[in-house]
Parts: sequence; C-alpha cells; structure tokens
Amino acid sequence: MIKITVKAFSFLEKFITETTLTLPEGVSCEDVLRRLNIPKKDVFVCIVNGSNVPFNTKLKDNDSLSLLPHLEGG
Amino acid sequence: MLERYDRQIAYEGIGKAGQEKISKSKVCVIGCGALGTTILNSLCRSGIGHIIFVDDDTVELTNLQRQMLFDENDVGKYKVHAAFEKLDVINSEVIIEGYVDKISADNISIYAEDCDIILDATDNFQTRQVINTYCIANNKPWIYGGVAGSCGMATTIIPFKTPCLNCLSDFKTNEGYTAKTSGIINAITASIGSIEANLAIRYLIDKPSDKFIYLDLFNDIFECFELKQNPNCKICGNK
Ligand SMILES: [Zn+2]
Repeated sequence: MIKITVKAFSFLEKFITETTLTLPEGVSCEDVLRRLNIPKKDVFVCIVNGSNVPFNTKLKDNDSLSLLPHLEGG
Repeated sequence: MLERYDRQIAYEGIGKAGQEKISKSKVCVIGCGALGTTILNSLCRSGIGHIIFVDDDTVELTNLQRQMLFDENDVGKYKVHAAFEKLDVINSEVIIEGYVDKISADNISIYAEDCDIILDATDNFQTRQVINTYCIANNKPWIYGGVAGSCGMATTIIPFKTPCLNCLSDFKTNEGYTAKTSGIINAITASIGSIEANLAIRYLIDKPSDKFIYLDLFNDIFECFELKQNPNCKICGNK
C-alpha cells in the first residue's frame, strides 16, 4: 500500500472528504478521482509534487497530488 | 515617441531594448470579453506594434461588470467595434485590426499567421484546442488563460519546450466552470488578463515564464507550479 496526500483547489474542494489516502500500489491520478467521486470533466490539471502530470500517471508512496478545476470562462 | 513608455522603460526588466522589441511585435488576441478587453487594454498601452483581435459577440449589459473597455453606450454593438474605438484613442501609435469572426480551425491562420504570439481570451475549451493545434503545427507560442468564480489560471505555451494544452489536461469538451455556470468577479478577470498580457510581453522580450500560475482571490491562493512536457503527448510529443 502507498500513502498520498490530496489537495483540491476552489470548486473541487467540495469533493474532498479525505486529505490522506492509503491506496494499493500502481494507482493513477485518474483512479484517485474515481475513488473520491470527482468527475474527470471538472479537473483541468493534475499536479504531482509541484508539476503537471498526465492523468494516467501512477502515484508513488508519499506523493502529493493537487487538483486544479477546469476553468473555462474568459 | 518613446516618451509615452518612459516609466515602462525605466523598469530594468524591460529597458529601452525591451521596449524596442515590444514595439516591433505583432500579436493576435482571440476573444474580446473580460480577459480580452483587459489584455487589449494592457498590450495597447504597453506599445505592442501591431495588435489583431477577433470576436463575434455583441456587448450585453451583463458584460459591463467586468469587460473593462465597454460602457453603457456600447450595449448592442459588436465587441470588436466598441473595443476598437477605445483602443484607438488609448494609443494611436499602435496598429490595431479588429475582426468580427468566430475562430475555427479553418480561419485561425488568416489572423494568426504573421503574429509573434497568440493570446487566448476565449470562453470555451474547443476554441482553445483549435489554438493549441494550430500553434503546435506552426511552432507558434501562445498564452493560455481561464477563469471562473474567484479563480483563474494562466501559462505560456511554447511548442516543444513547455507542455501544450493537451499535455496539461485530458479534457476534451466544453463542460468546465464558466462565468455562466459559476459566476465571476472582475478582480479575477482583470488579474488573469493582466498576467496573460505580461506573460506575452515577457516572451516577446526573451524573458518567458516557465510556470503555471493559479489564483483564487476569495481563498487567498497564489500558486506557481512547474511545467513538464509529456513526451507521449499526441499533439506535441516525440519531436
Ligand atoms: Zn502536448
């Protein structure tokens, strides 16, 4: 098992009930979204340890995942 | 001629050499809403040599809260026409061309072809994808920006150097948070518009930013993230 921390910004904050998750090895950012019931369409960027990553990136022990909402307005 | 820019030139980050680069630059701003009017106002005052902008909307009363170039007399006019009138008297040294049109994959090159950089002031993801695809195919930099509620983000996309829109996000459709779905405050559109204009100027004077900027003005969040290109990106990878 691995332990990761999750931080959701702005509109996504409402989805977060846990900030530290214990997950099986091999889980991806997308898996975390599914587990937290966050619609993928609401998330614009996944940030792991301070930089953007593809949504299918596998997470490692002690990773910190930040989720930025999809801001479409202009 | 340079007197107007005296204070900008006095800033050591720009200087006379920077101002000369700014005045020789040609940019394309896509969209003339809240981000677009802020960007145009800023770039025009900064003395960009040639500005092209494109939008097909008309001014509505609900726009006046945040679309800084418009006033009550403009309601009902094409945004491009109303903005042109203001920009023309803000800085007559700048060559300004405004076009009433909807940007698509078929027409983007007409407006963007000779430009040094494109600024995104659109309100939907599909047009941003059009910009991204065009810019990667033509090796042209662009500034991404998006806003809703009290939050916004912006970054410089330099093809094959920084992540493109597709590297950043798996998003494919127009279903994000918008001014319509979530409301919007003018502090965030003014902030992100100004940041986008500044990112463009920094690129034009060879001092580009390599960060992804995120703000939330009702939660006091000011974050910068590092950017990583995705080597497997379908649009810009493996090149
Ligand atoms: Zn890419």
